Parts: sequence; C-alpha cells; structure tokens
Amino acid sequence: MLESQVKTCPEEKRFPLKIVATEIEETEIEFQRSFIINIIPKIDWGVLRGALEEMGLSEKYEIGSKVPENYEEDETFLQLAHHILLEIEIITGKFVCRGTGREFPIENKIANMLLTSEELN
Amino acid sequence: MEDPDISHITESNFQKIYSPSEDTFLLCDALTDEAEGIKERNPKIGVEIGTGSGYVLAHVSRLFKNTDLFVFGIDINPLAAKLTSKTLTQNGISRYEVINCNLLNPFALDRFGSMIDLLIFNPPYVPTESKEIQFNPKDEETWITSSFAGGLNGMEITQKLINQMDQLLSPHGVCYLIAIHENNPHQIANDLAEKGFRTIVVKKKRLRGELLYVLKIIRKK
Repeated sequence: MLESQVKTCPEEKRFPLKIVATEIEETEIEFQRSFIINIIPKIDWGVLRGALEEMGLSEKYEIGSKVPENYEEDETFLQLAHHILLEIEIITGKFVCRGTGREFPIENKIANMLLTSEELN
Repeated sequence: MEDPDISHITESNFQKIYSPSEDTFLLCDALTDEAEGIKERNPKIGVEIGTGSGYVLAHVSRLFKNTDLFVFGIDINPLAAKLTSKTLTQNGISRYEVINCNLLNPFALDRFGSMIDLLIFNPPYVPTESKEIQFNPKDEETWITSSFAGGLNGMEITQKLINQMDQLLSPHGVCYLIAIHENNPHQIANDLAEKGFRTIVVKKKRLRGELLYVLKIIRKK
C-alpha cells in the first residue's frame, strides 16, 4: 500500500515499490474470515503477485492476477490470501523506488519511509 | 481490563519518546467508553498516527481482540516505532503492522483511499514556534519536542490530518482526535463540517492546566 514520495520520481513509477527481502518470516496470525473477505477486493492482485515474485515466493504460493469467482466460498483461497497478506513478514530488507532507486530500509519488520530534509526541499 | 504493559520501555527511552500522560489516558478512557459503538461499525482497518510508546494502540487492540480489526501504527520517530512494535507483541497482539513515516505520506491514497475504519490521533498539539515541529532523525533533541510541538495554535500537524480526512476515513469510519482549548475545537469542527464531517465532543476534561477534548469525527449522512 506504500508508494514512493521521492520528488524526482515520475508519478507512474511511484507505486508499487520494489521489494528486496533479505529475511522473511512466516508467522501465525488468527484467521478472521470476514476480514479477509472484505480486504480481498481491495488488493491489487497483479501487484501482490509481483511482490511474491520479488520475495522469491511465487513458486511456493501460486496466485493468479485475478481473484477467483465466488472467492467468499473458496476456503482454500481465503486461507491462502490470509497467509500471504498477514502471515508473511519481511524482517529485514528494503523497499526501492522504481523511478529513482532510492532505498527505504526495513529493519525488525519496520519500514523507514522518512525522507531526508534534503529530499524534502 | 488491565493497563497495557510497557515495562520494557526504559527511562532513557522516555527521554526520546512521549511518555503516556493524562492525554493518553483520557484518550484510552474515551475509546473504552466508545468501544461497543465502534464495534457496531465492524471496523477492519485501524490506524493510529503517532503511537509513541504504543500504549493507546495496545489498549485499542485489546478492546478489539477477537474482532476483524487489523491495526497500523505510525510514528515519525524510529525509536517510537520500534518500541510500539515491542509493546504490541508484549501485550499479546499480532494483528498489526508498524511503519516509521510522517503521517500517512507514503500511503498510496489514490489507490487505497477511504479505507480507514478507526483512525486515532493524539497529535503534537502544544502551541509553539513553527520551527519546533521539525523532526530530525539525526538530532535527538528534536525527537521529544516533535512529540508535542504543534506550531501555530498547536494546529500545524492536526490541520494536515483534517485536510486529508476525506481520503482517509471509510464511509462508516470514525476518527478520534485529541485537541486542547488553544487549538480552537470549534474551528476544527467548523472546518470539518465544511468538508462533510460531524464532530462530537466525547470527552472534555481539565487536566494540569490544559482543557483537553477528545473529538469524535464521522461523515455526515
């Protein structure tokens, strides 16, 4: 859901940020069905697929660029969506602006998206 | 419900991040009182801007345990972001994400707009000189200052959020915002009314020389 705020980055390259994941963790978070059903249509699945590829997980988790019809009743898909969206965490890595190459570090699962004072001016 | 456990945060940490104070507790009380009503809106995405120690976010997460709510914690201060994450884990919370950024600047709001069901902000609200609001990651003296310094009328940061409210709140979303008398809550309400929002005072309390308000903001029908 994040985009590049670098001023010199062209608009069309701001989203999505490129992901470089050095350390990934797959955790366990309680499954809330109505949450997942609600959030699924809001996600850009093409972008999500790209993210999985960048993280080296596209073979492990195969998803199409579109959501299956009647996904609300597709238990397997709901569980997969839950796992991908909530349970895969980048511990260490970076987001990279596709327009400028500017890197935003991720440490201890927290992304530092702050621009420097030079970049703000 | 017990208070959130923040025993992992040291005195030295509290010189660089905001220590839970009267405004923090007032906000928590307001959220506790409002919880049942908020639950009726079935919130899925919660965001707290300026989490500091993570106290309020931990409290909210516990109030909404076993519901759909997934929370995002935002702080401009990297130490606060780190400690918020620890606080949430320490209090048994896992449905969260913490990001170190300035307000919601890096969020692609034109793609992911109007998605926040529960928005919480205890802003830097103290009237100060404008230059005091600057957070500089390299100058630790600005860390604690930027947690309370609000610039002109204490409104420079709050105003940014108010201006974005339409892009942030979901159709049935609700925002809880702290303000003090000097921020001119009436003006805040008028400004929001022009933007299509209704403002309700859910708490008003004089604490240590400050008249504190907890404002609840929802879309006009």
